Amino acid sequence: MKILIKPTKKIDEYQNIDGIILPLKNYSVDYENDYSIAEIRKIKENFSKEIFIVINKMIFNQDIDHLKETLKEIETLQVTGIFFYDLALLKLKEELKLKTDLVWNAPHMTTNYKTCNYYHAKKVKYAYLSNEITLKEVLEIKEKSKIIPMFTLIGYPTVAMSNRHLITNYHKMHNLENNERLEVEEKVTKEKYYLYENEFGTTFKYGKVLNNIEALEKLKHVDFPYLILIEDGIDHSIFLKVLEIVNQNIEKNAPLDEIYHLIGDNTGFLKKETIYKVKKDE
Amino acid sequence: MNKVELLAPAGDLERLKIDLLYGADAVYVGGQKYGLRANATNFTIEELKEGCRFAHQLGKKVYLTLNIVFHNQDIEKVEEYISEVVETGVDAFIVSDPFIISYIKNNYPQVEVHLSTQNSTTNYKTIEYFKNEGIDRVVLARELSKEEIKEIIDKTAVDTEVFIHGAMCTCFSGRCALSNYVTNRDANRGGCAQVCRFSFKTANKHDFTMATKDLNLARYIPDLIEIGVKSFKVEGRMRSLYYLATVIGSYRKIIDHYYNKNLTEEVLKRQIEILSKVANRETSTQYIDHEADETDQYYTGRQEISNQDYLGQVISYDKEKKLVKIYERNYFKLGDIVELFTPSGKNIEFTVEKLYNEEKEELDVARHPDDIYYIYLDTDIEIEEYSMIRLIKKA
Repeated sequence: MKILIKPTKKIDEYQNIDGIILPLKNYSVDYENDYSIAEIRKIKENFSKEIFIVINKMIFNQDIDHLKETLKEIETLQVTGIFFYDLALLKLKEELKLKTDLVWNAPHMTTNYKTCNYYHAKKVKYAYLSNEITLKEVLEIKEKSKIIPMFTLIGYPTVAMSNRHLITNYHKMHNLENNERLEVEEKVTKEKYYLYENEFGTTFKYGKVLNNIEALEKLKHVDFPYLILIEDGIDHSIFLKVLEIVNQNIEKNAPLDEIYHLIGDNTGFLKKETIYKVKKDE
Repeated sequence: MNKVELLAPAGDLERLKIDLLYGADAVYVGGQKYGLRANATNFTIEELKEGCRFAHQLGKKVYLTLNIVFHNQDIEKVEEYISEVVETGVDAFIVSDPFIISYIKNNYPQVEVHLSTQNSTTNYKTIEYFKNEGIDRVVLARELSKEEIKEIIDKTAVDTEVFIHGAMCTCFSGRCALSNYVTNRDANRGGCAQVCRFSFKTANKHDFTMATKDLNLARYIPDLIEIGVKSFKVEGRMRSLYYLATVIGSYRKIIDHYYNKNLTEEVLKRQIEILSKVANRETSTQYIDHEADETDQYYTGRQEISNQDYLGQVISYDKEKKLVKIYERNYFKLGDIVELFTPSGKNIEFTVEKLYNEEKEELDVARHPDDIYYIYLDTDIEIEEYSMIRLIKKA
């Protein structure tokens, strides 16, 4: 079982990790900070473990030529893999005969083992499973799929992504000073959502940290390959403490309870199936 | 010459018939499973058979949506369902999952596969990938400009389908789980609760909203035909019969006038006026001609207007007695100027001079929905089944 983190601080501040996830500048969305290829190259000089780069923005025609060059440059870095959303990357990997492995990373679509196997047959090595499936579904994918799965253990879940600059539009229409971030509250559930905007549009994050440590025993039992901890939005000292406790649990079954005090007990859809056919009287 | 296809949404068999009679070349429907409008009536296997029979008799087509994001339990049973559906005679599946695309192409090569907009296809390289997988058509993402669409067509030679009218999502299709988080209804398996139309509290006095205006590309029909778009898609499997008849009828006229080389500004303006009257939201051209901005959204909460213009559905016309028999849908009265419009594109504007109830008693007003009324109308024009009446001007 490997621990990957998406960091927000200097890499040498994190202990006992197996790898890092670095969103690529100009090509990633949904993350707080990103890195240029030069920065990633520098990190790699001093970091011997796994490095994954994220290229998960929607790709438009105008991006294709530069993306080709970027992928060739990434190939020289010899990182462990690239998280991708758009299948243009799969096509380009094939065309350019690139060796860097790919991680299927469509946040709400990595939801079943047969499609995972489809991607595996297309030489995609990994799949970052959706946060909106249950533990039972996660374990079934692990059991029945040949792809190497990854799963979020800790992190604010991404809820949606829009091409529109929704925060800018909102501020403009109400003559408010603009800001890249906005916190909103749903009126009935009183749940909070965090929005932030960049040049590619607006990302929505759920207002509570996803805490899937309840699943850790079962995931350890099946030797689940990769667990991901995303630091974005979490206080750095709290994140380091959570990381420490998770590692202690994996190594020597140390208790996890303190994590609930640190980041709450939101398990998202781990135990909760969504519905989609509403009864007639609802 | 292969004309562009006008593709209409059909939530049930009645809507399918209305769409095709009012001029659609094809319809897209959902089955009882695996479609993104799980709460529409949708089609049973028997209804699909009947729908395909009806369409094929008219030389038209039926496409079935199979475009959910599959979970394990869904994907285990879908192969049997696909087999049943193929037997009904559908002409294509609309799919977003690449495993399903591959499965259908390998097992049922006689049926087309169209890549769903759920895949949010925004570039030619992705289309090249799916072209190799055997897809027959791509339903493009709605976040594309006319120039981007043209480049895709020029570089891939794949048939493209473009949305031209109807509701827009706020987020990228397939990249939104707002409904899952806010209501526990799975946006990507047909349960979308349209959370993007909710308003949210903020720290200041203005609620945050993100609802989008509807799309209306009536003015861009000639441009889109000329750049090579193969199919124009209208959104709205859950829309009313009146809405569908009006929208499909209007676009039919625009397209036909274009090919007949007589699409004048007057014709276009008239159809745009009809489209605007049946709309329950404001419309915009969204991404086709500009980067979508604040003018393409609403800021004061959900803004939908109930359409009172639809007065009734025609049941029959008695030429001898000169009486149109209708099911009433909205209030109208003597002196109102109304328009009867038919599936074949005829329009008869007249003033309601005499009105009767089902017992043929004279009335001043028709006020009860679903009741039968008779309206006096002297005309030689053939009034077909599924003709409708709308309000033009109140007395």
